[in-house]
Amino acid sequence: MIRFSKLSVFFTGFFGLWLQAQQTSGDSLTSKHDSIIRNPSSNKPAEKKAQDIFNLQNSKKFAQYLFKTGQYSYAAEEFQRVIFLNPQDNDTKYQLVETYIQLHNIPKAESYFNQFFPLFDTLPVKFQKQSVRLDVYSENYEKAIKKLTRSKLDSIDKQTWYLGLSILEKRWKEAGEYYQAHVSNPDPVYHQFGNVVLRRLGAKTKSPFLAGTLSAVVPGLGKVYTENYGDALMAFLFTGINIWQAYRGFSKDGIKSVHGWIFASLGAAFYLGNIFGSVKAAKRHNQKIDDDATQEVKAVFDYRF
Amino acid sequence: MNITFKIQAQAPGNNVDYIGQVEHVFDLHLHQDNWTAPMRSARNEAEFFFAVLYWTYKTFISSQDIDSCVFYPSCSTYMIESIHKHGVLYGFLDGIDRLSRCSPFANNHYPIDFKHKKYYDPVQ
Repeated sequence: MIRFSKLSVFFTGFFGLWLQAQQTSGDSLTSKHDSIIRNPSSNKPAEKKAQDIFNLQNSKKFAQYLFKTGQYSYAAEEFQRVIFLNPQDNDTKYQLVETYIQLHNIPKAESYFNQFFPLFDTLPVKFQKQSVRLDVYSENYEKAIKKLTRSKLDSIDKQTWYLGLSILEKRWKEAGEYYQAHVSNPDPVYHQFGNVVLRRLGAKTKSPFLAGTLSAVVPGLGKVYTENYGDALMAFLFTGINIWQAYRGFSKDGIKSVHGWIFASLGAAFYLGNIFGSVKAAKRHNQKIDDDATQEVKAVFDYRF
Repeated sequence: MNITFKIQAQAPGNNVDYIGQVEHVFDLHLHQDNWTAPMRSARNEAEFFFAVLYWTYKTFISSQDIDSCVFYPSCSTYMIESIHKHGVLYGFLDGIDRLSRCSPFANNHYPIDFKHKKYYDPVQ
């Protein structure tokens, strides 16, 4: 028993010494680590690797990389983080709005823009241009024109943008007069818009009233006028065959002919439908001419401004 | 359930297989649309009447036929959508006009819906 207790004392003492040694070495490690953190200017290789990849500068670089490589949804999140880190960074706010434009999420882009820059008149030109573009994308052309007249754009840009917005508003006559009045503008885009206006003013539109009247006189003639020749033929056949069948029924069994009434109803429906369709075809023809003109201007607003 | 008939055809004199080209010609006229929806969304008795006609046509007539309309959406769907959007008289005339336009001559005036391989002419 005595022998056992002596042994236990011996081993306990040995264990205590070992534990103390471990603790000492642990302390030295901790202090070494602390020295690395506290002294970043020292030249040790381990310290060089210690960098904060999530700091403001790196986050901004990463967000811009995501934007440039077309990863817009990730870029939007990263730009939002950068704005959270530095709420005064107006360029990043501009880029966040631009990212949502690229994502075709115009309501969100507008909402961010209004949140970031509530006072239009005090903004720099770059931001004012973005605001007008946002109105163009949301097809608020009237509002865009009002903003443009208040903006700080130089006169050449203002004229070009105004002409473009007049085209998008489909104010063809006014746009034509405006183009002639400022024809000395050196901007090639201005003259591109001018050509669009002149082409549209020279295009032959169709009269919906005339189309409807022609179809009322001869079924299908209104569609010939609107250059839908296949539709004209079908309308003439549909109406003609039904009316002929109705005529056959009535001439065979008189006014009580069921056959006659069925085909007379169908014939009348096709006759009226054809008048309606001719008016619509004329309107669609005119709409297409307008759309062709505005499409070119929209493309310039998308890719040039 | 999507049932399709497939045709295996070979041109005489060569071993070219045309299965892929004619695979969908005889697809059954099965729609994913809910044909009772216009009945539930009808705003008055006249619209409901046309919605019932539409359901009857789709269930008993159109489903037994091949998909022959050259437009997407089909003429019947176009008419019921137009009636719902513009009212009974306007929608009916619009639908009748669409019916007379639905022919092999309907070309160059409409964009193509590549998914359905038809001319795209929605209600406007």
